[in-house]
Amino acid sequence: MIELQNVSYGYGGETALKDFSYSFEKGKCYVIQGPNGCGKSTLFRILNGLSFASRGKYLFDGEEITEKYLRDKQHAYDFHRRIGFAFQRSEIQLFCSTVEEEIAFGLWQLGLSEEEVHRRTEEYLRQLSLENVRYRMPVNLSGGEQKRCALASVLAMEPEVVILDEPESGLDEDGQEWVRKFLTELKSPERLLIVATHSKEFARDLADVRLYMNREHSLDHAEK
Amino acid sequence: MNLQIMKMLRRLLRSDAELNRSRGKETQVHPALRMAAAFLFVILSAVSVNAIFTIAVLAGALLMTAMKKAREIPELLKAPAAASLLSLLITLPAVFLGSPATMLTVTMKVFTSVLILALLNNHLRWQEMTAAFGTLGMPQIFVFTLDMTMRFLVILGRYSNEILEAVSLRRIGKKTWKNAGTGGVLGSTYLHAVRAAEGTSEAQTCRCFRGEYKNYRKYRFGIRDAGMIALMALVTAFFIYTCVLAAKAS
Repeated sequence: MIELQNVSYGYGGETALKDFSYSFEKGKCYVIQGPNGCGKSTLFRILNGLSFASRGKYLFDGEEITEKYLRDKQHAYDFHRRIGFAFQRSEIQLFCSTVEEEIAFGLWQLGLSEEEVHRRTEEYLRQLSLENVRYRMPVNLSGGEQKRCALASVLAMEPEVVILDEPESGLDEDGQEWVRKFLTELKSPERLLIVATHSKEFARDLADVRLYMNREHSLDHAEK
Repeated sequence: MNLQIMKMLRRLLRSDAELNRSRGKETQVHPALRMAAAFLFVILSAVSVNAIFTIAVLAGALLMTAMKKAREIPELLKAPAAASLLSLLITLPAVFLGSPATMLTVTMKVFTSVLILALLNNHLRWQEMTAAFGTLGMPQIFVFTLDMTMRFLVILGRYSNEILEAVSLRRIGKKTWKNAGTGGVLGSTYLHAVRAAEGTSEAQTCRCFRGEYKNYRKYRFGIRDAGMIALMALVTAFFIYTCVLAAKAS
């Protein structure tokens, strides 16, 4: 579903990602691990079309994703509709005035009917245990609540690919346990999950495939 | 500076917490109607040629203020008091020019207008206010910009507060403003704002942002809304009546 062919990325003389090649298949959960600064976040930015490879190819369902390709509004819309991305720092991606509006925001952009927007919003408020904070401003929530709100806002759009950058970071033990359990339940044959984490336990519980990146900003090896 | 930031954050956070506690009954009259009523009363008070009308509106506003909790009343009266004091000073020359009524009328109108707006600010949470702007026909981008502004006030307020605390801890014993590193604090806050704005833009792109910005919560027209509309009509009728009276008197 997603194929990266010798993808490299650099800025200002610094290499952030080097010759990364891998194919991600639908229905599996890939966990990417590696030291700080190895290029995990850069890789995710490229996968989400927020940055573009300086060398190599990024193919999404056979279509090459480039800056020119995403300049077309319809292409960009179709692409982003299918990929959901939860940032490492949840605060950045929460920008609405209440939690329920945060979840509904993406659904309005999809052009869904009012009934469907309300149905999905209520469903994800319930699933992510956010009902008691639904009227709160997302940036005022605790770390765990912000994480759940960010997840809800992404998952409500029901993307085929879900990319999570260190979803357990900044959470206490209970929060981490909750995220682990939730992501395990999220796995399905129709969905591709790509998760970055530093936690070995997290990776062990969740991964179908574990990818290891090294300090040279490239893929070291993969384990199934 | 630190204290001012904390005060501002406290106001925003209290508003947010109150909204959540009220659990969907945020306000029983549509926020847009409340705003429209406030603006109507302010405008009519300002243009009124008959002091009776202004006094009546002022009496109503003071009655509403008196019904507030004791600790809220001084906060409510601060802004009107300051504004009317300023107005008094500016219009003081009118006394020496033989028109003391002008000074009193203007001061009274200023006090009334600012008190009405302070009451509106107290009644409505900021989320309701921005939503009301949308209902009143403001462009979505305007409402969105307002919401973004409030959000960034909270985020940058917290960030700059943390930096100021760190600076305070590091310069124990040195209290000069020069040593406060204010330039660095402002610069860091600015850079953080730029990064946060970029992050927000990317997050919106990832959620297929196409410019749609709607309210999730829909208000239903109820008996209290009808009551508010009736009050607005009554006040307008009273205004017209007092204008006719004034015209007849002159």
